[in-house]
Amino acid sequence: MKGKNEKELALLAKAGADFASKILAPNREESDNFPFGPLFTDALAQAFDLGFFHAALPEDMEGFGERLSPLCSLLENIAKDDASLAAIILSNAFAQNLLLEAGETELLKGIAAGAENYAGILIGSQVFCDPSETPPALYAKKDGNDWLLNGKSPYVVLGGLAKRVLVPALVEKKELAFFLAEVEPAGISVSEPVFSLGVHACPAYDLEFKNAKARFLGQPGKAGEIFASVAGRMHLAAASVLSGIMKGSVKEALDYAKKRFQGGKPIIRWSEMQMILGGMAQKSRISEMAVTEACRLFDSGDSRKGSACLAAFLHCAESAIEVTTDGIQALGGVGYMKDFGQEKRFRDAQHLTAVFGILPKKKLRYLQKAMLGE
Amino acid sequence: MAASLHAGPKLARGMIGQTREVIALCRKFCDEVVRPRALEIDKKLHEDPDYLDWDFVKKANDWGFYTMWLPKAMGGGGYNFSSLSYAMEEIGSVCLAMANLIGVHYLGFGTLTASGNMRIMQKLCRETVLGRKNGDPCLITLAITEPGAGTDVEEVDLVDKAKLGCFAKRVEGGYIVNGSKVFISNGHLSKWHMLITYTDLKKPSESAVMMSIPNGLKGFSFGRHEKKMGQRACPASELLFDDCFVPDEYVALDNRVKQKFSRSQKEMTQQMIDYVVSPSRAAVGAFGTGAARGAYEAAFKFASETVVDGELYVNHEWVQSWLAEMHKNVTLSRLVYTETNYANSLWGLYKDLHFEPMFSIMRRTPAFLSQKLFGSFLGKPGATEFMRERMFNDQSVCHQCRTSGLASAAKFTGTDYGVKNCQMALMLMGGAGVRQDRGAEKILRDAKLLQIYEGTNQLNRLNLFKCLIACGCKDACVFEEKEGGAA
Ligand SMILES: Cc1cc2nc3c(=O)[nH]c(=O)nc-3n(C[C@H](O)[C@H](O)[C@H](O)COP(=O)(O)OP(=O)(O)OC[C@H]3O[C@@H](n4cnc5c(N)ncnc54)[C@H](O)[C@@H]3O)c2cc1C
Repeated sequence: MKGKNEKELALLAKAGADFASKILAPNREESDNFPFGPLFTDALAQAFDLGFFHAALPEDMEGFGERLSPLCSLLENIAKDDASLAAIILSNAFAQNLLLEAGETELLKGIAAGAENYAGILIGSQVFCDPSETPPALYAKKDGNDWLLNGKSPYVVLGGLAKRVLVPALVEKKELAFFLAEVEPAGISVSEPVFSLGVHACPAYDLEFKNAKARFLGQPGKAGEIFASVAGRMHLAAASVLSGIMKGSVKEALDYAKKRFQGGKPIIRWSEMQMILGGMAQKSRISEMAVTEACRLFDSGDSRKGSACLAAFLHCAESAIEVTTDGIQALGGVGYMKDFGQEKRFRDAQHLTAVFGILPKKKLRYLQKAMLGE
Repeated sequence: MAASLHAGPKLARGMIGQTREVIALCRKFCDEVVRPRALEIDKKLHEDPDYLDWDFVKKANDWGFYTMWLPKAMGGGGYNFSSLSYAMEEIGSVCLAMANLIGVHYLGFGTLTASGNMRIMQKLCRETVLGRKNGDPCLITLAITEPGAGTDVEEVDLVDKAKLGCFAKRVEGGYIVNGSKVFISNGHLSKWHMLITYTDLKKPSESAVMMSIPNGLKGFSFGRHEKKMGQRACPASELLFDDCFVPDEYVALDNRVKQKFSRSQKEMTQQMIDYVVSPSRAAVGAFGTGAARGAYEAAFKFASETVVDGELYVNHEWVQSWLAEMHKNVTLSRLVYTETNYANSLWGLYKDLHFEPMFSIMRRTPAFLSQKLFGSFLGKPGATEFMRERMFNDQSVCHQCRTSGLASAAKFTGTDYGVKNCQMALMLMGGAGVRQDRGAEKILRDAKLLQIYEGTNQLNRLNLFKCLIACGCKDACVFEEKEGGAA
């Protein structure tokens, strides 16, 4: 995938939308059954072939470079139908960005060029979990030229799926640093997939390290900064996933409300229902606008880009919770069943909002950083 | 004036003690039965969606939960019906699915009670009590929802326009039923099903029939077992009727009875619905209170044990404010369902059982004597006539509306706050809240259903308007919005 112009960006977005509606949507219920059913490995293989896992990489690694709008529009289009694959792409993009931010460009280049399948390109990580907020229970020590990791890393997204994991650890029990380790055969034991609220096909695993060889990333003492910088821009990618979920929820609710009759007319003709649908559509539209505007500011290097990314995320997260709650409600009893996509969107929105960190704290940070300049 | 002010002075002595007893029993039951298995069963049902949790039902049966709130004269425990809501809050705060596995049985029994048919009530009570003794649980469901009609069947002003498919044809000695019912809670786990069907699909509001359908009746079978987001331990079943002959002995109420009363058939159908949903919506409000409480407790525990940014989470000022808000949501939800139960006690389904001297006499009379004294009378046709006279003629429309309107308030207040608290808890807990083994995410999945069943919260808002507000405007009409609306 070498395209960088607007036409090719539009093609990427369309490829995402087509893939989601033709490949993901028909098997959504089955894919979501993981870990109690098989993982959608065929879909992952096809997504790899289409270059979706490269999208966040620099242009010389067959990605779309520094700009965020290609990644965001890809994520939004996929999340409309199935947020699990979008969450995998997002999680991987987060880890790839951590490597870049740590200055490990050559290492990443090698990974991207050498990847023969999705496992090869995917990197497991704790995504938005801020290591300086909750210190890790993983410790690194020097052993000759190598680093050895000992301890535990809970909830490593893609940890049991990817060839490599990128985790924070404490060096000499106090200083934070990021490390990259190969899952096999490096002394890492991987739990069963953690059964959680949403995005079941984007699994997380608890990892235990016993003298696992790892590579030190970046420079000593910089882990907090690296994380903050990546999280800052990745909030926008997360917002685009939530915006996609909302779009899917609004569409499904509208389609259903036109067909379902109660009281002798389609339920969309009752103004109480219109009020619900109208509210959903309005929140979704504003979220989409927030993502688009934040992408524009980010891609043009505007000085307000940091606050725009976080504000877009905060708005999308709060809206997605409300929209998907109403999205089930609009369908009544069937909205609560696995047969439609609404219950999954409700779980996915709530799940993603929670795993991206404590939302109210992000609001405090927004005030401190964006408004007070602290 | 608040129902509690009316009810306070009339409240039977002994009711408070009895309610305390119920709460203590539920807490013990939660510690010994519900909490140790709630997450495991939820997970098991993800592995095997058709699994039926007979173990839990048997345990609840052994502990007496299926007979506690049945009338003492019919062999039940005779506990005051309001205490069922407190029980549902207690158990619901730990696992809503398991609370539902108990609560729905009383929805079924409450429906039968609303028919006033003492003969069938006595029969089903006897079987439930026997089932407790034999360790073979006998549960009852309510089946009213159809594939094409959900909201419609809860409201007589809508049902005549509904797309109904379940039809009862009068034949000699009974009815022949064809069609299906969907989303019936506890269906696959129950022995009896209170079926509401219609003899005229063009005028269902005037032709509703209530029947008690036993498992094994020819032409009756179970269909699919729905795959739900939450409350997985409590199955939602499809019930299928294929030329199913239901003999008169199983017919609890039909037009032949309704013709004897002064209200119109349609008014009586609404009265019957209100008798059923006024206590059951209070109970769903209590489920919601339980969800709100479970979520609050999970968030408080997390905040009390976790250090964030070098400070105990519970000591961040905004966290204190959030916890206070969540606590308030629990308290308000409980107040509304309690108020509704006062209304039910004064004017609703169990008005005769709750007030002195009836309550005290029943409470003090030993079970065997109570059955001997009243039991033989209850089986006689005169008992049913007396009961129906009390129910259908002695309740004023005003009292019916106050009870039903309050019940709707209890339902949507408790369940909206339930979902709200779950969402606040997950936001407060961040990533820690999404793991199934931590419990918080399950409460959210379970709680969302509460906004849907027993009438969606939208329907309940409109019912509150109809019952408590519309009388203030002579031109107000409900469910008659002009075709097209604002669309
Ligand atoms: C798990 C589960 C268990 C259940 N258990 C039972 C049971 O034990 N027994 C039983 O009989 N039923 C049961 N139900 C059915 C339940 O009561 C219905 O699902 C509920 O009444 C809503 O009906 P519906 O699903 O057909 O939604 P619909 O009526 O189709 O509603 C869809 C949407 O349209 C809205 N709407 C409909 N009409 C109007 C209107 N006039 N004005 C404004 N908005 C309107 C609704 O509020 C909702 O948002 C259960 C349902 C579920 C999901």
